[in-house]
Amino acid sequence: MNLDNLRAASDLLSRLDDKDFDLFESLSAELTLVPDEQLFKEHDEARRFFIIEDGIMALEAIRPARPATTIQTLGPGDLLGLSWRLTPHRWMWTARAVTDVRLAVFDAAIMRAACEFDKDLDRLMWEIVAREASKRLHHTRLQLLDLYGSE
Amino acid sequence: MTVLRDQATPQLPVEPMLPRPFTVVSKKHETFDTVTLGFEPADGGPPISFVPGQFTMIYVFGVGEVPISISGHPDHPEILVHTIRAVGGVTNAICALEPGDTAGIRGPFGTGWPDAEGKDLLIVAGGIGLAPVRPLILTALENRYRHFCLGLAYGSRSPSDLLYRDELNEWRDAGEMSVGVTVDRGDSEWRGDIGVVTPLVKRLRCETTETIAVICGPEVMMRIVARTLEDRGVPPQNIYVSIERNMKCGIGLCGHCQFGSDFACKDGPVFPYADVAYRLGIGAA
Repeated sequence: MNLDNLRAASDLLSRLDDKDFDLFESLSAELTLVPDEQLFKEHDEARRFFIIEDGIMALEAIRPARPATTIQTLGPGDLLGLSWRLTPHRWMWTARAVTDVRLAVFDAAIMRAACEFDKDLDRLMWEIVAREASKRLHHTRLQLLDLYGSE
Repeated sequence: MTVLRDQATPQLPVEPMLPRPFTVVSKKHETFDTVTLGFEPADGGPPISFVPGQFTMIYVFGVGEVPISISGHPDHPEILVHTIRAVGGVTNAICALEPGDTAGIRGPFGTGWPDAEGKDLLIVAGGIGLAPVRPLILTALENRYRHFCLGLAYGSRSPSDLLYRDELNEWRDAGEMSVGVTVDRGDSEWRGDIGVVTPLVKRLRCETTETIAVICGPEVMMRIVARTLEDRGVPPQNIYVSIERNMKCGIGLCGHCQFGSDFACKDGPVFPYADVAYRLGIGAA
């Protein structure tokens, strides 16, 4: 899959040198979803990870006998899926398409093997995952502040 | 370095401490605690002319007076529009006004949003902060040719707390402005974004060295959005924020709203971010 159009919008892809970008491109495939289509389910094995090309994805918590609660939405350029990198490699949340969505898909096992082989790539991927996790923690804390309610 | 026109610094009214009587002519409930009121002069005098970003002091006789940003169209001042959230005694009294009631209004006061003609214009608002930027949005949409890129990123607590919901949909559907809306918590019917407003800024693609950015909302939000814009290449002198402090007189005399070496009522509430970044608790760029 050609990732050139996605490179500038994606924090992950924009940080890759040409060699690693070519690797990602060679390992990528495209996936499309329709609204309300589920991509992965909480606690399932995290066998892939994704970069959103177009559309909005929701991360949800499934609740018994109630509609799922959306925790956060992700959009174009966003990395979807961090659990592939961290044991036990199981999704923490459920992901569902809010709109029509196009995604770049990467195989988690192959990417982990590539990182095992290339320590520079391994280091970069850990940094990107840590950065993304830190950003989401920051955003979640801002939401917890209830800024608009306490003005 | 981008050369901008000066921010609007209109002259003060002739008697700035004397409230003029205004009659409520329209009332719309925006949310459970926020209303938009339309006022007309009750003294036979002229309407209040203003520039986007300015505020008036609204006086409920026998209760008190508070500063409220003007949220109407500056080219149509015959109806003076204010959006008020009920958070205390005076604002509760203002929100309880009905068509036909009278309030006292002084103003307009303060500085206006910058003139961004020929530049991209990015507006980021949070919560009730959409009200002070609404005049700027209306003016920009009416003069769309003046901007290459026009974008609005708006964050609110929940779908039921969104202001001007019908207008947001109209603005989005008209296609003249890129509109991103997010909430901290959704509901069962919400099909939009959930999360903080900063990711929406990235999607609007108006963040270049030729962008004028206008931010209005809680100060924590303004700090974080301003930093995000700086990280993406928007010069700090092209970023403007609205600083609201405990304003009483509105004309820089009482000192209640002193903000470092400035008075929020007279030198603000609109400030270039480059001038106030340090006073917001972080170092200047």
